[in-house]
Amino acid sequence: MHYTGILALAGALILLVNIFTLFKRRKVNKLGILAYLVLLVDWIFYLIAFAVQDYTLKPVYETSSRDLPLIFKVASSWSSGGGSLFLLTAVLSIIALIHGRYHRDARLDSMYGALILSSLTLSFLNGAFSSFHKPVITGMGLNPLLKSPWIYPHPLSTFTAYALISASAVSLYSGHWRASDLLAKVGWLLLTLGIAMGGYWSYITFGWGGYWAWDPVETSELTPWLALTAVFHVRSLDRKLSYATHMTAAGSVFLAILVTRVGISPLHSFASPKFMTSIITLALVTLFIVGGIRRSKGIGEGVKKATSSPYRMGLIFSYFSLFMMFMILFMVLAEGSIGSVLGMNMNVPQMDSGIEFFHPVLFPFALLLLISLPMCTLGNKISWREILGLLGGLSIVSVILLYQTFRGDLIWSPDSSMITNLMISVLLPFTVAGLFSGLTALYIYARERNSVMTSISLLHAAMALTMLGIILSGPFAYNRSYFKDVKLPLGQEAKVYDERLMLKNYKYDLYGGSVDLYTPYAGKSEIYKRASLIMLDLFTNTSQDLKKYENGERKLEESGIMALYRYTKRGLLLNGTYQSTAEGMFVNTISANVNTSKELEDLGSLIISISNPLVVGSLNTRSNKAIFKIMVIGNVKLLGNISLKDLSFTKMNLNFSEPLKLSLAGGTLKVSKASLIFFDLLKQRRSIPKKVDNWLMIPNSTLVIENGIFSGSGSRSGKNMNIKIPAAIVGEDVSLYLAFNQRAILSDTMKIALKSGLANILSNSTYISRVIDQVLPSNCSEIISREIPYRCLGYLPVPKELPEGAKLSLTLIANSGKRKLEIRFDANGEVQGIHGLVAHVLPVSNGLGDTYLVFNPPMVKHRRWSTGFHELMVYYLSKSFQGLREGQKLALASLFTSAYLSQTIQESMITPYTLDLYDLASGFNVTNSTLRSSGALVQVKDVPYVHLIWWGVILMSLAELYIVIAGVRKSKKRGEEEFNERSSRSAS
Amino acid sequence: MRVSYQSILAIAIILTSVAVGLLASFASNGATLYMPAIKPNSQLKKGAVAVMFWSETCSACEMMLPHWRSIEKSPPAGVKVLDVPLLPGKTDRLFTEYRVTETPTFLLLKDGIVVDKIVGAVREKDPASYFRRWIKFRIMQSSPTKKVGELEPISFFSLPFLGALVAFSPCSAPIIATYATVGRIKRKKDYASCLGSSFAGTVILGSLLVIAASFVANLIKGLTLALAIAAILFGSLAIFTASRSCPLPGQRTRGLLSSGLLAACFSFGLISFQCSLPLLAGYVSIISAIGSPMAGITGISLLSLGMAFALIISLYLAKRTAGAFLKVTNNPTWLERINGILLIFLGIYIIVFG
Repeated sequence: MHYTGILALAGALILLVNIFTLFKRRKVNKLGILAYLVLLVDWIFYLIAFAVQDYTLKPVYETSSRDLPLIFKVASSWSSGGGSLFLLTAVLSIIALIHGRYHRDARLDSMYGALILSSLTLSFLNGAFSSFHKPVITGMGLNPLLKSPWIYPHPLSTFTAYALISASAVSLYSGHWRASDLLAKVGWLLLTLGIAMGGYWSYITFGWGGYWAWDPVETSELTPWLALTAVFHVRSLDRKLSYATHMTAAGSVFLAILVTRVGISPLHSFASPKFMTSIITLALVTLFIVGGIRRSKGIGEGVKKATSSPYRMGLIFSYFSLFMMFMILFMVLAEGSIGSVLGMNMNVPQMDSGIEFFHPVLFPFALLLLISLPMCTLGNKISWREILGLLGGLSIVSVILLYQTFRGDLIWSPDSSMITNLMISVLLPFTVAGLFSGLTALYIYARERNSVMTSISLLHAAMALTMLGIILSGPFAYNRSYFKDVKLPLGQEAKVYDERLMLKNYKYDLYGGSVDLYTPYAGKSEIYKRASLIMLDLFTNTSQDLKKYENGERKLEESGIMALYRYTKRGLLLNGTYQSTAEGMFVNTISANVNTSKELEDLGSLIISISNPLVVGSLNTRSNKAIFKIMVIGNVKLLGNISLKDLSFTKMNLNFSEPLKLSLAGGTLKVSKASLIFFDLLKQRRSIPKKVDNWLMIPNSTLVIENGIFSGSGSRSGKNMNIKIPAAIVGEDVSLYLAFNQRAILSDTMKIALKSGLANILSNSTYISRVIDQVLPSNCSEIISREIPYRCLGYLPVPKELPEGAKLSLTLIANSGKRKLEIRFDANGEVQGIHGLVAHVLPVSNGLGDTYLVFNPPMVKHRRWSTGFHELMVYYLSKSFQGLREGQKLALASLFTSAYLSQTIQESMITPYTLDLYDLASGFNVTNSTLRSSGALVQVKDVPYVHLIWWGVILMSLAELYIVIAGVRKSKKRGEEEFNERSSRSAS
Repeated sequence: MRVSYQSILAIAIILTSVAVGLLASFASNGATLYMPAIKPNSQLKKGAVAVMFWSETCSACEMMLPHWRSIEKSPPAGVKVLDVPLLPGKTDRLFTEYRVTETPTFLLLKDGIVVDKIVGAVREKDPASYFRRWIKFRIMQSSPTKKVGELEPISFFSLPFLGALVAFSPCSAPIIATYATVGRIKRKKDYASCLGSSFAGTVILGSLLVIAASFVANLIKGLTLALAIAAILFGSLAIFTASRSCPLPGQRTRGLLSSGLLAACFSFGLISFQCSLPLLAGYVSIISAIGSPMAGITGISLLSLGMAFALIISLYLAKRTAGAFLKVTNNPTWLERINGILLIFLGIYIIVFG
């Protein structure tokens, strides 16, 4: 254990002793304060460990790196699972210290103690204090998306809010309800800010324009907010109900913590510490809820009496809707996290499924909440009849807008579902009415000089404003389909909506220091395992193919046919008489004729059937001198006295006793001799024969016609002709050469491999065996077969120190003047599999909304079959390649290809892509950047009314801040009055 | 204090209406911002168009397409007949815009607005002739599109009628009744001068509205929607509260009663716009003003004329049947409710058919 852990244990021990003494004597002593101070000091040590990069503390190694700026080094202390819980512990200690100064109460102190103790235990369980003993140069680095100033306000406010909410529940339980109220209000304020800042951070960083996606972690942050908001609405009506809800809110804080820990991913087992984490968090959730219910005798009596005024009815409505929304989210999250802890494959609705699930389910309650908004704000000032008149009118307007939307006359978001559009139509009138009723109340109370009620009205108007912003901007922010791609070439102006942009200058640079991309991942990460497979493929299959390819080329060259081949390849036959289908050069009527029984010399009678044949090859008929070969590539099926064992060869000679007739366009080919090559030309691997119902299936095989006579009327004169097909040049090498040349992806692969650097190492057998020794660990090296054990994968000859990342700085002239942008590529993020590219997001305000611009590096694409790679990665590799050996370069290219390409890409494509990346990076030159020719890639969309959200949240927070301050002043005043009263009483 | 809250509420309602109206109209504009592929395709936007949406993968389309193509070759007079295949990246935006989710879908469009729709294959012996009948019948049935800047013939009747409604509005009728019964109107000439002055009052205010409307021409759609929404909200409020939804402050009423005949009628013409029904008047005048101020002025004149004559009639009636008229007008609760219902229907009419 790390020394910070030992100090934390000491703190925990003192806390335990304190709790016991509190139970025994029921009198507060100084032990608690000592424990909180020890924990706080320990937390400072913990931060220092991050600041000085003490790699013996495992979280430092996992989330930080040597060359990170100091502010991020410190911030990475709460970016790990355990570290963030230690932050919670520290904040709780601060609160307990401060609260302890005002209320010296044994019960409160022991409750705080228990709370802090469980939070500390959770941080232990989540590895906050694990030690690490491997010698390393630097850490694994911080997630590239987290390298933003928002790493301070968002997590700090969220965790402080969590701490405050649980502290407020504890205070409430101990009977200090005024303190609890204050803590809850500040907690609510910070939680509101935390949620909003999280959304804003996502909006300006992720580059897809969304600020909310029903991610379980986001949803879990919303749950306590909803419950706490519900508490504020029911407090004046029913103390018992408010109490129970308040406790449940605090319970949901721990559910939120659990949701963040389990990650709600499919793979979880009992043995992991996650199990203990979930036991403790769920126990806390249950304890809080049970604590709330225990004192719930007589719950709901206050509510029953409350139907008299629209104001009270509004409070009940809003409580009910908020609580129902809370319950729905709580249940979904609880089910998801408990299920995943139990090892079930849970699917918590998120992203698209979140929208499909949550929006319709929450909609009725959101509507009820909006209906209650004017009742709450104006209910004390206007009569029932006026309220009903207003709501009745709004309902009619909603129904008509709904009808208009249904008819297709009113479309809010064309790319969203009809349901979304309909929901917007219904909610909008009520939201706007809520906004203006809030403002009306604001005016009335401001005239009455009632500052607290004015702030409350402002708070509600601001909430409606936020809601309005969400309703109007949400679909546009969320949907990627609104993005338009705009290319911004150097020095040319491009118009994007109302914004004129011109790219003036660009600059590529490496940044940061160096990172170790090997130690943390080798042998473990999926990306490494895939990369090592690429390396093996390169040094076994590709190198063998290369040899054959070269041989085939040489044979063709020697036979004198190469010139003709090149000639026909240029298009003689492509434009000739025989080109009549898109598939090949001949009409495919083969299966009918081949499907006949034929005598074979050594295997007896065979039925050959070729499905999906692709006929390649060329036949020069114009000069009546046919000297070329024909191949039929397809899935070959054989029926006869043949077994899988017979196919230990790669080529089967077929001598037909009776000529096989192939109908081709323009004539018939009588084949007397052919060979079957079991070679998977498309997949570039040996095909695996299968036996199905007596048929032997050999997918993607090649039937090479070695000897035959072509008779047809293909010549220009229309004369019949007979052409002998010679067997002179046929062989596996030649067929591979020809087949590879049929497909650009295969021939390009060979061409890249033939380039000076690679050809040497790929054909050098000692080099090959050395590389294979490096890729496969010593106890695995003898196994080079099709199936390499999983444990043997994941080792690459990559250098241990590599640049941290690369950046592309763009200088841009926009409407508003010169702007400097920076697009980052973080090597560590890429290798971790979370993608290292951090595009630059530039939201340009256009009134109440934004023109949302996302700047990406250009794609470098030199080959037709490849989607290419972004230039920042190509640049990064070109820099990293400097001074490396070819094998290391290939290893790096494999690693980054494996990381960059998603799992969905065809396995056979990965090696060609790797060679493509290798080639692009070795040949990259900054002055020839694609930025000059096709320009930077800018994705643009319009996100209307999004500013309303930010303004709404700012106003809400200011109003809440005023309410908090006014509350503190009031209670101070009351405290002074009480003090004066007491002193005067004692004086008398 | 109650009255002041009510007027604040009224302001809140008007603001709500304006906001919802403008947002809704902007939304439709904003939505089209994302349809660049459609904008240049004016083929569907002009005149009468019959269009079949189809995709290659549906067999029902395969069945229907030859019949549709035969109509395309010889389309009915005045109708363009087209078909749109689903081509990702090319025509899919059209599918989104016209909300076509199933194929085949047959749409009848008039100036880009969907008049009628058939989804799926038709089970007729001769689909082609069925389609032909369908196109002819539906196109004929849908009214001829209104030309910009012209009043519809129906307005020449409806506007004066609406004007009359303004005069009998429950918030202004009692004042007139009182005015008439206190004996200000003595001679026949008085009727004529009252007619003229009230007409002038209404026309002046109406013209101001028309001129104002021409300044915010691109907001017309939103403001029209806002007026309709306001009509609905005030109507609903009128039904529920059934008190005077148009509070004429006591002082002003007294001032009106004590002023001279011309001034009283003139200000009546002005004031009638402050009541809830004048929203309707404002709507009519603004709508008429689209494209041509002349049409707007004509519209507002017709409205004012209707109102002025109705005023004279009510004055006359008030004088002659003083007791009965007062009885009705001094207990305006049921008038308010009818007024409210009328307003709601008006609002719905404007939004759905306007």
